Amino acid sequence: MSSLDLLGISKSFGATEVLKNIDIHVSEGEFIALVGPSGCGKSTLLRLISGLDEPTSGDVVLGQHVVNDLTPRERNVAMVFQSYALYPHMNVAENIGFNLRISGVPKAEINQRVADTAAILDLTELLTRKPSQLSGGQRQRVAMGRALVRNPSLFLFDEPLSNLDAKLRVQMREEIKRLHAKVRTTSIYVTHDQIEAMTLADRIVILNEGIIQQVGTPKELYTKPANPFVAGFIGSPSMNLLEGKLTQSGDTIQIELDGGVTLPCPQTAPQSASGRVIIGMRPEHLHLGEAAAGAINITGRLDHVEPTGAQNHLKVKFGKNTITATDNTLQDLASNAEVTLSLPTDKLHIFAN
Amino acid sequence: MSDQALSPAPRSAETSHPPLPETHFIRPPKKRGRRLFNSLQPWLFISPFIIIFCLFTLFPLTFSVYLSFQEWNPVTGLSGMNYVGVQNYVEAYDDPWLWKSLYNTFWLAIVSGVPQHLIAVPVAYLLVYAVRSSLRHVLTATMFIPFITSTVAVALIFYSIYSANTGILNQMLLGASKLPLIGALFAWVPDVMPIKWLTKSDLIKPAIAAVVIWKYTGFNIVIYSAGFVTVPQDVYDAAKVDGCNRLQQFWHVALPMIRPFIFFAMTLTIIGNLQLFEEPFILTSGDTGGVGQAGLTTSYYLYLVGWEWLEMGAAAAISWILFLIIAIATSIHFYFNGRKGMEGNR
Amino acid sequence: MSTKSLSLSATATAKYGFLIVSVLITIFPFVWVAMMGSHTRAEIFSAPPPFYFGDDILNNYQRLLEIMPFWLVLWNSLTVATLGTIGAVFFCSLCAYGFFAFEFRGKNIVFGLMVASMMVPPVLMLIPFFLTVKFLGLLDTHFAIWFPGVANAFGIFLVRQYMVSSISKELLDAAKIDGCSHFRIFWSVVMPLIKPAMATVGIVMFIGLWNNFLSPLIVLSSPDKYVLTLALRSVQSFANTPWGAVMLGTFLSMLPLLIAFLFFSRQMMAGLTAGAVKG
Ligand SMILES: Nc1ncnc2c1ncn2[C@@H]1O[C@H](COP(=O)(O)OP(=O)(O)OP(=O)(O)O)[C@@H](O)[C@H]1O
Ligand SMILES: [Mg+2]
Repeated sequence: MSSLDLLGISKSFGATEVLKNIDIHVSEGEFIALVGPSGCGKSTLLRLISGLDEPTSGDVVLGQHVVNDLTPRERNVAMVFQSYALYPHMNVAENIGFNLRISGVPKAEINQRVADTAAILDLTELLTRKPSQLSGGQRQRVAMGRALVRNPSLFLFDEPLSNLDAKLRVQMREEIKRLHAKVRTTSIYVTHDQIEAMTLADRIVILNEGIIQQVGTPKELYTKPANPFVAGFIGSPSMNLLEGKLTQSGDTIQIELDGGVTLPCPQTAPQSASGRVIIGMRPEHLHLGEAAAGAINITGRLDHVEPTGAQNHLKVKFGKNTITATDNTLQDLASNAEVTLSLPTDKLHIFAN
Repeated sequence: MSDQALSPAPRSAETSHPPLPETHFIRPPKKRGRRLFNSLQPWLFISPFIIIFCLFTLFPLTFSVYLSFQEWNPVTGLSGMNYVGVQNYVEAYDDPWLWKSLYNTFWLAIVSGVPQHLIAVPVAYLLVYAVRSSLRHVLTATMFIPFITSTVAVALIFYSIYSANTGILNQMLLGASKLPLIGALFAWVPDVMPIKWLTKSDLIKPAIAAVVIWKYTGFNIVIYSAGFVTVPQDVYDAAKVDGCNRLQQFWHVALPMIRPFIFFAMTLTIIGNLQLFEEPFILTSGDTGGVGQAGLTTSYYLYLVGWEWLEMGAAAAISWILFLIIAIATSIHFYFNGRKGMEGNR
Repeated sequence: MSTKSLSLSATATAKYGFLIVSVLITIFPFVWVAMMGSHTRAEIFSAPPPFYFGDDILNNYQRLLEIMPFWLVLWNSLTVATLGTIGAVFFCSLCAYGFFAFEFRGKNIVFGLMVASMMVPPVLMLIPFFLTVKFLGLLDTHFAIWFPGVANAFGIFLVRQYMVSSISKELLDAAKIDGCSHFRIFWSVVMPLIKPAMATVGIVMFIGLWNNFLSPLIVLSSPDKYVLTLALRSVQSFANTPWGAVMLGTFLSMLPLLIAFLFFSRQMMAGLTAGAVKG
C-alpha cells in the first residue's frame, strides 16, 4: 500500500492529446473515484498508472518513487477490468492464484491465500469451475479476487460493475465498500455512474476531455461545483443550467436570462458585472408552492410530469427555458397549470461563461 | 463593488490535498537497456519469420531476377556466371518447347480445372440437401481422401492403372465391350487395343487431366459443402413461396449465395493448375515430357532446363515468365469475377 | 404405388446412384493399389489383372526392401514431417503473437510483405530456393526441407487471425498486471487459447511435408537421405519394375495419413480448407 502522485501527466495518441497535464495526489489508503463521460480518458489514465502504457510526459509516483520506467509487475498494482479479462482456460482457483504463481510463491501458500480470498468473496464452491461456467456476477467476483489475493500497493478498477444488472451492482458496490474498509488499500475506481462514485469514494476526480475539472469529496462536488460541467455531471436529475448575463443597475445586480426573464442576483455572487454567466439550480432545491420571501421565485407553466415513484419530475417552462424540479408531495397538477418555484438564494450557482 | 471582487472563480477548484513538492521524490536512474529491450521485443518475436523470409524468400527472389540475366551452370560454381543481358528471355521467346509447354499448361489447366467445379458444385449441393448429416460427413470425407494423398503415390497408382497392356483401365474397357447390353457402346474398344494412355501424344494430356480431376474434386466438394451449409433455410423457403422449383432454387438462390466460395476455389485452381508439375512428371516417367512433349508443362520444363540441362539462368527466366502468366491469369480472374465474388451474400 | 412416389424414388435412386458412383471412383485406386501390392509380377501382368487380394505380400515386401531401404526412408519422412510440424506450430504462433500483441513501427510493412509472400507461386521459388540451399551448404540435408517452412506466412497469418478473433487485448493486459513477461504471456496465457489454430497449422504442415516431393527432388541426392515420395518415384524407372513391391510401398506410404484421417477427418478437412471457409 502506498500513496500515488501524478505529476503533469499528458498522453497523446498520434496527434490527439487524450490527457492534458493531469496532477493528482492520492493519499495512502484513500479511495478515489475517477468519473467522466465516455472517451474522456479514464481508462487511458488507469493504464498509465498501472504501467500498461507510458505517458507522453509527466511522472507517476508511487510512495516516494518515480515509477515511469517500471513494468506493472514492478509497480505491484492490481487491476480489475471492465470485461473481467479472466483467463478462459484456467479455473477460478488458477485465475485467482495466477499472479502468485508468476511471482514464485510456494504452492501451499498459494492454495491458502486463494482459499482465504475465495472465502471473503463467497467463491469457495466455484473454485474448480471455468469462467465460461460462471454468471456475470460470479465472474466479477473472480476478477475482484484476482486483485484481492495479492498484496498490491494500489488497486485499480476500470468500471468493474458496468456489465452487471442494477440490483447486482448495488450489492457489489456494498461489497467493495466493505472490502476497502477492511484492507484499506489505496484505490482508484473508474466509473461513469456518479452514484457509484459518490457512495464509494473518499474523493472524486472529475475528468472531461482529458482535463481534470475538479477534485473533491462527494459533498464538495455537490455543494460547490467548480464549473458548469461538474455541476451538470453530479446530481440526479442533473442541475438546471441556464445561460444569461449579469447586469448592474445602480446597486443591484440582476441576472438577465437568454429567455427574456430576469432574476435577482444574490450579493454573494462574485461575478463580473458585465460578463456572461451560466446559472445553475438543482431540481431538488426548487420548491413547488408559494413565492417565498428572500428566495428566488420563478413562475412558469407546467409542461409535463415525469413520475418516478418516490417523486415527480416537473418540467416547467418559463421564458424560452425549460427547467426540471422535483416534487416530493406527488400532488396532481393540471397540465399547463401555472406553477411557482422558489429557490433559496444560497442554492443558486453562478459560473462565468 | 470593485472589479476585483467580481473576477471569475478559477475554472478548477484547488485539490483538497496539494501534492508534495517534487523534490521529495526519488527518481531512479533511467534504464536505457530496458528501453532498448522494449523497443526490440516485438522484433524478437517475429524474428523467425524475418530470418526465414529474408533467407528463403526475399534474397532468393531478388537473386533470381539477377540470375535470369546470367548464363550459369551451377556445377561451375558462382564464378562460372556470365552476364548475357536479356538473352535468356530472347531465347525463351524463340524456344518451341517453351511455347509447347505453355500450350500444354493452359490446356491442362482448363481441361482439368473446369470439370472439378462442374462436378463439385452439384455433388456438394446433393450432399448438403439430400443426405442425412451423419452419412454426409462419411461421404464428404471419403471424397476428400485423394487430396491428402501424396501426388507421387497418386501418380504411381494411376501410372499402373493406365498401363497399356495390363492396366486395369484397358481391361475394364475390354470387359465392358463383352457385356451383353452396354457392350455395343464399347464395340470400338477391341479394335484400338491396347490403348496407350501415357505413350500416345494425344492421350497423355487427357490422362493427366483425369488424375488431376480425381485428386482435387473432393477438396472443392468440401469447400462448396461448407458454402451451401452457410445458406440459411429461410432463404430457400422464401424462394419456394415465390414458386421456385428445386432446380430454380439451386440456380437462383444457392449458387449466387455461395459465390465467394466459388471465387475462392477457382482462384486456388487457377494458381495451382498453372503450376502442375508432379502429375505430368511422374506419369511421363520423368522423361522429357512424354512422347512429343505432349505432357510437358511449363513447371516441368523449368525443372528440365535447370536441373537436367543445368542452365539455371535460362530456368530463372522461364520461372519469371511463368510467374507473369500466372499473375496475369489471376488478375483477369479477379477483374471479371472478383467484385461479384468478394461481395458475397450481403 | 402412385406415380408420384414412383418418380420420387426414381430421383432418390438417381441421387444416391450418382453419389455412390462418385465414392466408388474415389476409392477405387486405393483398393487397387492395396490389391496390387499383394500379387506377383506375373499375376499383375496377366490379362485380365486379378481384382482380388493375392497372397504375395511377403514376397513383395522382401522385394521392396531390396529396391529401397523402406523403413529408413519412412523414418526420414517421419523426421522431416515431425520436425517441420513442431517447428511450424511453435514459431508460427510466436511470430503471430509478435504481430498480435505489439504495436511497433514497421509492423504494417512487415505484415504486408508477409501477406504478399503468400501470393508468390511456389514454382517461382524453386530456383531461388535451390540456390539458397546450395549457398548455405544445405544440399542433401533434411534440414533444408523442413526448416524453411517453420515460420511460414500462411501459418502466421492463420494463427494471428485466430488470436484477433478469440483473445482480447484486455486479457494480455491482465496478464501483464499479474506480472507476466511477454514470453510468459505467450506461453501461459495465449498458447493454451490458440490450440485449435495450432492444430490446423500442424495438420497442414504435417500433410504437406509428408507428401512433399518437389523440395526433396531438388535438395536430396543420396538415397539414404531420401524421403518416401522421392524413393518411390526413383524406383519407377527401374528396368523390370517390380510393380507389386512398388504398389505395396506406395500403399504403405499412404497408410499413416489414411489412418490419421480415419480418426481426425473433421479436423484435417477443416484445417486444409481453413483459408476457404474463412472466405
Ligand atoms: N491506443 C489508442 N490509440 C488511439 N486512441 C486511443 C487509444 N486508446 C484510447 N484512445 C482514445 O483516447 C480517448 C480516451 O479513451 P479512454 O479509453 O481512456 O476513454 P474512457 O474515458 O475510458 O471511456 P469509456 O468510459 O468509454 O471507457 C478516446 O477518444 C479514445 O478513442
Ligand atoms: Mg474505459
